[in-house]
Amino acid sequence: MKHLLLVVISSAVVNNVVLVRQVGLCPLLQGSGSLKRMLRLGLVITAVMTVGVMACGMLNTWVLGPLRLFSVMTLADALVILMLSRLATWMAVRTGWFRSGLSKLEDMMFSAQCVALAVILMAAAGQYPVGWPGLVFGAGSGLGWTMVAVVFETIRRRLDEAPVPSSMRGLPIYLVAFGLLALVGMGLAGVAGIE
Amino acid sequence: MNQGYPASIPARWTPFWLVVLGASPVIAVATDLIQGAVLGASGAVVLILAGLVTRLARRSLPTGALVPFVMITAVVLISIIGVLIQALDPDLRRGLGIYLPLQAVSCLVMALAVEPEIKNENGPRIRVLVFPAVQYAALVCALGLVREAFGHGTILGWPLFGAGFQGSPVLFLSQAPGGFMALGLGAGLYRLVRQRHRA
Repeated sequence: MKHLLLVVISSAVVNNVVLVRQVGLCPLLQGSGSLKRMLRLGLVITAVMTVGVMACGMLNTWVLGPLRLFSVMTLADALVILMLSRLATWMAVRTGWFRSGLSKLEDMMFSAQCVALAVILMAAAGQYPVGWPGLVFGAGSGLGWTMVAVVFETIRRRLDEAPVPSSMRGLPIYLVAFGLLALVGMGLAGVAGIE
Repeated sequence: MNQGYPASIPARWTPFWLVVLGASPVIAVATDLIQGAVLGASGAVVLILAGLVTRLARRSLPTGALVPFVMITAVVLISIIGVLIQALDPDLRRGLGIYLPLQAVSCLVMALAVEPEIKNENGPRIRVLVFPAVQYAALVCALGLVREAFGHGTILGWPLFGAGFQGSPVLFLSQAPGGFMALGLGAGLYRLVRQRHRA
């Protein structure tokens, strides 16, 4: 139990997928226009990551590994993520969870696919086995991404209203602000004895 | 906006916008000139070849199959590039880590499939792909150069500040927060120069 708790803290906070590993930046910089929408997108991505880490872990460990098809693992993982993203998008719109329409969510999920694949590759590299550790790692990473997405959406709103020089308005100031946020992420190294 | 660009390149595809579309690997591993150059070149090759293959296959693809097709093509290309780098320089491949395969699913490649101004035609023409790809590669290379020069005080491993200099000039730049700030300040400077040029 303690080990699983450390995996959650590590994946969500100390080794945050955005602040420390720098993946999944496009949807954050692109923005969603609403805090609620960003939170919902984060939860959809968390679901995709959690199921994706399990599905890809099983595929790699039980099918591709024994067949020694190591070179097609990334391709297979990317296809699994694509299918899961499509399924999650369809379900989110169908159930009314995401009311802004299919195309908006599809666009945002396109840009979020790289973060899901990154988490799967990290789970494989970090030797998180199929089962609870892998499941918790996927969910923790997704929640970590959602947390940063919501914080950055708030910062974006403030930056849009701030008196910023015209040449720095928009993307340049977002990147500088993100740099400061990443510094905060670096400062979290060592929390709970996790490097 | 894009003076000197072929007319069919979307106006928002400025060099900094392209780098932001593929930002994850750039910020994470383009910390020196060599890694920046390899990352930029591999991104450019994937962008051009995936775009060309998509152009050739577009008419025979059913609706909805374009994104998976672009993704599969990009992953196959990046896997080949990864094997080549592994064969030539295993240390460099280890340094690029998971960020090399991530280029295949970055928004940069996905933009090929979803960009309406490209999607509406028969597919991107080669010059429409080559211009942004070369700009992307050059900018990633330049970012690697700046981060190595000011972060480590070297260029290609050669010390810039003499043997008596100890430590790093701006160590911060070789790390992720410095990468974001260098990219942000570079984008601001680029826009300022363009504004002055237009005025």
